[in-house]
Amino acid sequence: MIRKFNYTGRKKIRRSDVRIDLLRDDEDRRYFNIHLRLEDLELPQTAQVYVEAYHRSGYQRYTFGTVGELRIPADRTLGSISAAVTPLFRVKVVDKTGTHGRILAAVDKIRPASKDNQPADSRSLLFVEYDDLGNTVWQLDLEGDWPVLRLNRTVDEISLIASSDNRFLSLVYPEVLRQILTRILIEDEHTDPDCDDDWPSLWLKLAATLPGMSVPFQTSRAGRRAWIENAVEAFGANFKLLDKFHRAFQQ
Amino acid sequence: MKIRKLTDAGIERFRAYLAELRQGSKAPPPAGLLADAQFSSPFKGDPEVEPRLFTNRLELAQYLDRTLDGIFNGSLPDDVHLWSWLSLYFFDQVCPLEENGLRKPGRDYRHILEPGYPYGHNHLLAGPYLVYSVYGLGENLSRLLLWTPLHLESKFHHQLAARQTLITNKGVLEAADKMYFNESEGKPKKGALMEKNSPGTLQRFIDVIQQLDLNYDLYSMSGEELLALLPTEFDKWKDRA
Repeated sequence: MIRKFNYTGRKKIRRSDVRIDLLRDDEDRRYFNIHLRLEDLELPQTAQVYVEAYHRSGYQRYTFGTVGELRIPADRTLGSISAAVTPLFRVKVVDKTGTHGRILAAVDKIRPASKDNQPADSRSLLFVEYDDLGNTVWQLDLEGDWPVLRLNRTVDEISLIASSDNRFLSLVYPEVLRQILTRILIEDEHTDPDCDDDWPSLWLKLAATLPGMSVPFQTSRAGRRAWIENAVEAFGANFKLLDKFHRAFQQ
Repeated sequence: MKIRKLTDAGIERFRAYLAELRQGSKAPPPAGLLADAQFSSPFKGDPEVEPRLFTNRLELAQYLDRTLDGIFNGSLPDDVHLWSWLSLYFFDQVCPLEENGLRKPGRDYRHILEPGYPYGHNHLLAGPYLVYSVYGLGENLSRLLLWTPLHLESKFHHQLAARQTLITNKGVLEAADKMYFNESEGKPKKGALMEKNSPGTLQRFIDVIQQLDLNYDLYSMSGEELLALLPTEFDKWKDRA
């Protein structure tokens, strides 16, 4: 089994110990609130705590004082990040006593739990964004921090189509799964679903729990490719995609 | 001339022209689209551009920064219609005529913006504007990335602008500039882009920075502090910094 190792010795902040909520102030500017628990990690009281928000070209960093004395900054607005997107967040605890700030603990790719007081699907394995994609209807973006299904916003009712049109569901989502698993198992050679809680492990875990599937122990490239095809087949069977496809054309 | 935006029909005409060029056409750019109400529409604020020549992409970015100053909003960098109009306006510079009378436009996204991943930064006008104005790198941190003429994307830009953790970190860009930029010649030092995995090259710099990012809080470091963290393979560049 191929796994990713953390050789750095830095501690992991549990995702369950961080909660981010996106809100708007009186001037309609977006800002975030954060609930953060660091008590169990036995970190130095003097270590600095930083929260970073990011999305593509947008990046903003906030200083939250120290582990021993957390200070929530008054300005938590997200002015550097497009209002049209949902940023991800990372939390870092940094030892600043040496010449260079060393990361003692961190957690990355935190999705907000709510937006404008509405629950957000912070545990989703596939985020959705809407862009002008020219003549392309959909595109899978695996180069960012989390898999994103990009939909062409110029297509009428694309949101409705992507969520409930049986033709779209049966044609697109198996290919999405195939591309994601190919990136994980073939390109990145990551085969351990229990390695961490980053998206590759979570997607492997999802695929491994489909009917008839198990953890991908195969070490050969051909074996992993076969496993991916089995997972795509199991996905289709589980959600009756062929049946949905037939019925869509009979209606 | 007042800046306008190509309409969808204008973009399709522009796209068709690019396709013709790839087929060997010697037709001139369809400049008539720029002011034709069917193919372009007014741009808010009515900023003006003039047909000036730019030495390199940095000069262009500075010009656009001044020209678009005050009308910046979150959607400007993603405005496909605006950037397509600007590309057509400056077409002789982003797709110059070669000696044989042909033009080599390359892929459409170099002229018709495809925002975001994976081609947004490859647009020949929006890419420099992103670096200079949106990332706010200014002249000293942009010059390594934007030293080439308008129709050429440097490998420094290609490699660094495509990585969010690098392009948003001014310390990283400061370190790269100090090592690889030759101030007296106004361009990168020779050898910085040699074989992919040769010691001290740009690709090795990127690999090392990404490894250091696991251990160190790179965002809090200056360029000098980052240089001090780099292994000895970079000494020859640091010595020449």
